[in-house]
Amino acid sequence: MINIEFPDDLISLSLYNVFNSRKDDKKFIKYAKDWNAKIVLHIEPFYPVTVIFDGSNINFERKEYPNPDMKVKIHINTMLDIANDRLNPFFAIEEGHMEIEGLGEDSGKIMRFYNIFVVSMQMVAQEPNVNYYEINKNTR
Amino acid sequence: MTAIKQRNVFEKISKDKVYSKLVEIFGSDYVTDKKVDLYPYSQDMTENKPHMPDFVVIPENKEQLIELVKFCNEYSIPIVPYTTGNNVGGLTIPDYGGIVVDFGKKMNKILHINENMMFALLEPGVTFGQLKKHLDENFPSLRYSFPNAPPYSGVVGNALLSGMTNLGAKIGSMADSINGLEVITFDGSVARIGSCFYGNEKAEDDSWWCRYPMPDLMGLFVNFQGMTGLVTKCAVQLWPKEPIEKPQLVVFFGLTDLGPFLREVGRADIVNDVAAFSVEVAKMEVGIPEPVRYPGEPLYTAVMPISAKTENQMNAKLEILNGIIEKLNKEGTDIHLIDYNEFAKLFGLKALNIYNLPSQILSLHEYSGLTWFGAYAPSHIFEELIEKTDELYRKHGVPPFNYLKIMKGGHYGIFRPIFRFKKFTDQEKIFKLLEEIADVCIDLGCIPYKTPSWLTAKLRKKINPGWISLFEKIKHCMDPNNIFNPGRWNT
Repeated sequence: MINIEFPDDLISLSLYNVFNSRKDDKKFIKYAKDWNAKIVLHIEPFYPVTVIFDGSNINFERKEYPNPDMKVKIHINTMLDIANDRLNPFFAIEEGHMEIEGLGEDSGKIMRFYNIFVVSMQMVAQEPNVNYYEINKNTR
Repeated sequence: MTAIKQRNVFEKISKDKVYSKLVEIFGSDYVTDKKVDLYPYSQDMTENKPHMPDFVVIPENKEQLIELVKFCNEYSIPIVPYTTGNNVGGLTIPDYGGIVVDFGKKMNKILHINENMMFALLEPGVTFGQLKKHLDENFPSLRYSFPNAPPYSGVVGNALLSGMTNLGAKIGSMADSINGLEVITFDGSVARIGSCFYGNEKAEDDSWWCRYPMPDLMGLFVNFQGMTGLVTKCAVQLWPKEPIEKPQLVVFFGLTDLGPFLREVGRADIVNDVAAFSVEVAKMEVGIPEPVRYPGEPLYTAVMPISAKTENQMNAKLEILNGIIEKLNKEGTDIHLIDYNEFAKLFGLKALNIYNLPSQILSLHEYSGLTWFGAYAPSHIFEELIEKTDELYRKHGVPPFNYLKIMKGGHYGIFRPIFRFKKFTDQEKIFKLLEEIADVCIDLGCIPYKTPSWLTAKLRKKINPGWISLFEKIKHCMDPNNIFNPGRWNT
């Protein structure tokens, strides 16, 4: 079980929605729990957000945390291309469409980042049942 | 704010006799004078003061209403038309008491759809949700133009009051799409207006296809807020549903970036609608309880339904749209385009409610009160409107809840601040802000629509005397005993 803070800014809220869809997913829990890392995600043209993984909690701060464990810079439309499988994330890094600092050679870090951020976004974007109109049509 | 008016409804006839007559016309099951039944009809979510009706009746057909109008005209008893009570202008509050005619319960039939000439013939109680369901199930190639309103709101009322639509950038106001009306005037006579005007008793169902070229009597009923007659049928235009839809989200980081964008995109003839909101509205929509704007967030967002017949046509439209944004950004704006469906999946699917109309924005109805100031606006003052009202919001410590549109190929715009509030605690503050916004807008030449009485009182001071005189003459001619929704426009 992962506890995710409900934020009130646009970018953190998007991340909340993405993470929250997997909060009971064993694989997500495996990677997110006890990561104890601070990841700065700057989705352009918006503002940087620091995602704080602390034990079983995920919190958000609307600022660039000093000395984060990782820093990722990506344009919103590149992010949507990756989420919707139009762009390979590794190709995006290679081509400079996604800038990552602090990834290093640590394969565990790479796996965590990939599974928590990239796979979660792809799952949300591609889940055919996630259709608000359809699932709520009886109560809308 | 609307003052409670005094008028002796039963000067010429006793209340008991009125009740007996109403039972004779409508049947005892469809007439009430019980306070518990009348209470919901005495108010709406707005700041406008409640007033109890004396009776509520539920009509089933035109013949009953003809008899009602003749009777009420003889004894000068007010008649207030009501469909679903969802207007946000106090427009169905019976300021002088009298009889509320609730069309929503039984006169709510979709009478005819003409697939060829693309119109729907409706009774006054038909709702947006009902019409959408009917078209989706039976005429999937057709669509109506829906407003940002709940599915249980009435189509005919919104059309008669020049409401908005999600085809507004193409077709303009909903009133522009009325083909024809059937109305009962004060003496009980029935008039059919529009191409349905041939014949005696009844028009052919297929004859409601056009509004012109005869003298346009529709104007005697459009925007009159039920003051000139009872509408019993209304034909509204439908539109072909295009197979490809790619709604776009635009984010604006400069306070006034929205102004030039609306003007440019309006005249480009590429979008169905632009529903532009201050970011606080977008945040409220996805369930943030007390939305505030943080540094780095866009100040405005716009959702634009775009549809096309082919992928090539869609791509051409998107190319034009991207070109507009590129040009404006070179001139100094900070505007960005994002695929709305894709963004909404990540951002929160409730956001799709702004696009999939009609829909209920639950958080807008979270408090006990809801009010707005809606105005048609000349598009060259958008920037000034945004800046001046932003100052007012800050002065009153209220988050800006603005909503703007461009209409009919860029010919004009809409400016619509909307407020949810807690009645009895926030009402005074919100009303003061609302009044100040109204003053700014009117000074800049905006023209409010669906106006409550407090606002028409302001307007009457600004309007040229010749217009007021003509308006009064028409009202008197159409309703000599002032029985139709008295009090509206301060009549």
